[in-house]
Amino acid sequence: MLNFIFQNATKIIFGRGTENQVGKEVKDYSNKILFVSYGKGVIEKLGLYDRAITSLKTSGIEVIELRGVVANGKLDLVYEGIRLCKENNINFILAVGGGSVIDTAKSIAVGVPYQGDVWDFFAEKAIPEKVLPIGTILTIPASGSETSNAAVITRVDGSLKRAFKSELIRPKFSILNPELLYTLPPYQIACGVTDIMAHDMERYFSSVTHVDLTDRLCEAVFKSVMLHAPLVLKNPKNYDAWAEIMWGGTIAHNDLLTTGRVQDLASHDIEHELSGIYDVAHGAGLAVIFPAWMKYVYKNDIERFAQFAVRMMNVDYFFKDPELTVLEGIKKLEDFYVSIGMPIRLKGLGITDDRFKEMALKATYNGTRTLGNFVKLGHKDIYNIFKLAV
Amino acid sequence: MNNFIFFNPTKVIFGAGELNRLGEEASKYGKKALVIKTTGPIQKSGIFERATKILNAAGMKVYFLDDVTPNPKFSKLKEGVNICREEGIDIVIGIGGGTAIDLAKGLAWGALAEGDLWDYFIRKRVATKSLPIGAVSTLLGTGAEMNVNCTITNEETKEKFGVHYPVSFPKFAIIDPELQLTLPRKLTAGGMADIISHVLEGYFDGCEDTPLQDRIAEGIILTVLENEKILDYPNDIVARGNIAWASTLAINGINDAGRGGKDWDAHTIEHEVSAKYDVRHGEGMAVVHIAWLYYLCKKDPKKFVHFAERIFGIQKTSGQTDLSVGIKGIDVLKEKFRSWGLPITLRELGVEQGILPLLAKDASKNPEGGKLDPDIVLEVLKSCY
Repeated sequence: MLNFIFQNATKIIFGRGTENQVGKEVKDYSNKILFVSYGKGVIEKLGLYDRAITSLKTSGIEVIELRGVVANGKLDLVYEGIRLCKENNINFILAVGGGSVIDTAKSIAVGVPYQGDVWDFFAEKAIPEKVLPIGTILTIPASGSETSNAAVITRVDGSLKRAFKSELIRPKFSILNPELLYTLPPYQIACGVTDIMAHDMERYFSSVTHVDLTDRLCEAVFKSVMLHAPLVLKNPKNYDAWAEIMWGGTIAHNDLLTTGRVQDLASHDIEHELSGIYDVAHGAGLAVIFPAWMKYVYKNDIERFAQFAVRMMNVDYFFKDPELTVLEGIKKLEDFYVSIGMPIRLKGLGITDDRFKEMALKATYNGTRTLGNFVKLGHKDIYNIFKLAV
Repeated sequence: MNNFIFFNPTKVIFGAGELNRLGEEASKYGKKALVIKTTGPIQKSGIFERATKILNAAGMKVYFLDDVTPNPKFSKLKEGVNICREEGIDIVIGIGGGTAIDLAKGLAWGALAEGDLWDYFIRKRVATKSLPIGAVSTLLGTGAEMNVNCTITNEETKEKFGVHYPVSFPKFAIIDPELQLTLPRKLTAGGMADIISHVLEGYFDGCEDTPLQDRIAEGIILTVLENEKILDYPNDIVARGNIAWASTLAINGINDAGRGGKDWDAHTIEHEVSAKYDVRHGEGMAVVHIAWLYYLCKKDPKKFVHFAERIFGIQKTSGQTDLSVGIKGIDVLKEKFRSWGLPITLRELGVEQGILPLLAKDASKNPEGGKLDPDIVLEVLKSCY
């Protein structure tokens, strides 16, 4: 167990109807806000738009809207948001949506008080010193952005997708109402669940030893999310099952599970190459890459992988052959992905082996960096992982 | 899962040697620090001398509130508040366990509060402002370093009441397992029982559909049980670290978020015992909570079957009743506490039999408590005498 610093001051307001409190929460910060969300349609259909606006107006808050956020939030819209805030003297931003909406709001929040180009933060040319406060109403779980210190934005010219981190951009509050997830389509549900489980496993597969408590907490979140996923797929209006997944998704990414250990982000990094080149949903890509990564690295720590198999996948421990335990655990994870409609091979994503080398090199910045911490992976390793995923 | 609000802004600085950051963190809030100095084994550990040096090195002037004893007393709170006001203290630092840190919280809001300070404990007034608070945790169990709880005993009225003001989150909490290496075995054991009891209050609150919270709770309990070797190998700093972080998370809100939000009945009962007999809270909990669990299990054993299986691997076989399996799980936990050297009867704590009716009556009157039925409390107290 390593020394660590943990602080996450986002206030979580969780449960049925909690979006109706948004006005009250915002009022502590400002009387005038920028309301950031997707293009017209999504939140209107949920009735969320009306309820949020009513709550804000009742609290006497003036609302200026920035709509049109798309998946993988774009830099152009961030610029527009910064301009709107400056012109209207706005000093609070409310994000209503999933990760891309929240990340757009975070990027605007650091951009407004900054004299230069907000891209400087993403290009690591500047570090945020001041930021506008933001709040969120979450409509898609998994990204964890509702309490995280990170934002990811895509720059369309040059297709660069970059992230920055700052403790200043954690939302002041996040409203989580599982009812707002009732209309998510099944494929998106499965992708979200896979993403949450991957966040969890990336923390679980740590080379730091004697981390019993965080092992147990990872197992708690993993199992709870996994057990409830089939229930929401069967009945998307199952409130209690959604509540588990939504709160689990936040905890999986709020830094608690990383306390005292080092996480391994190799699978996420490798997947980003897939979704960078092919039009692949992030969650679906992870369902393919994660088992392949496991098969490639498990021999480095058979005990940890056996613990995963026994505690997380309910595999009986084979005392004569722990390796069999591990393989059975990975198999059961793949079976689970299949059961929720996820692909587990690149074939299932329509991807053939012709660009493996290219992606492996790109992921390692042409062989100049390694990925992951559990095992440090070079471009040849990544190539082999793609091979295992065929 | 119930609706909930979860908010906990305390910055945790965890790990061996992190006490050295005390000056850097505390000096962000000013130049004058008041340190709560408790009596007992902690005095000999040299920590107050070390802390003073570290604070001085950061340019801070250090004041002390001396001779603070376990179950912090209202008279000490008033004494500390006077120091804060007279000296213009910028930050109050609790070094120790619940005694020091709860008292630090009380002084910090007390210094800025008006009127009779006991009014705040009997719900006549509410504090909305506080001086900054720093916490250095050297004990297991209390979790005071990352929550707002402040429990104080009024030695004149023999009342022990708690307040929970949102302004009372410590700005920072240093959890340095190295500082716990010298803890006497009995305090470690009491702390371990206290951690488990914090988690179990919510776990058995009758609220259904909290599977994630339950797994988190089970994770915390299993971590304590799997690292119980620290009783025999007190220098195993990593095992201590695991338990120390479990101790904080057991009562920082994460386990209770989404549960029933009910009052902590076993704690309410124990507070009567420790208010009148000045027993260590962890030891009191070991006795009272087990008795309370038996009572709850007899009322509704379903969750106890789940507990017995998840924690102790006790399988329910055909022909067994829920009640018998549930009771078996509690039996095993009680045996654990006994094996750690903890008392399991009120008699061992020095409680006189004749006082049980008074304890029961006062527990039912506690403004924090959930209007407990004095007859039931009496029955529970008798069962563990």
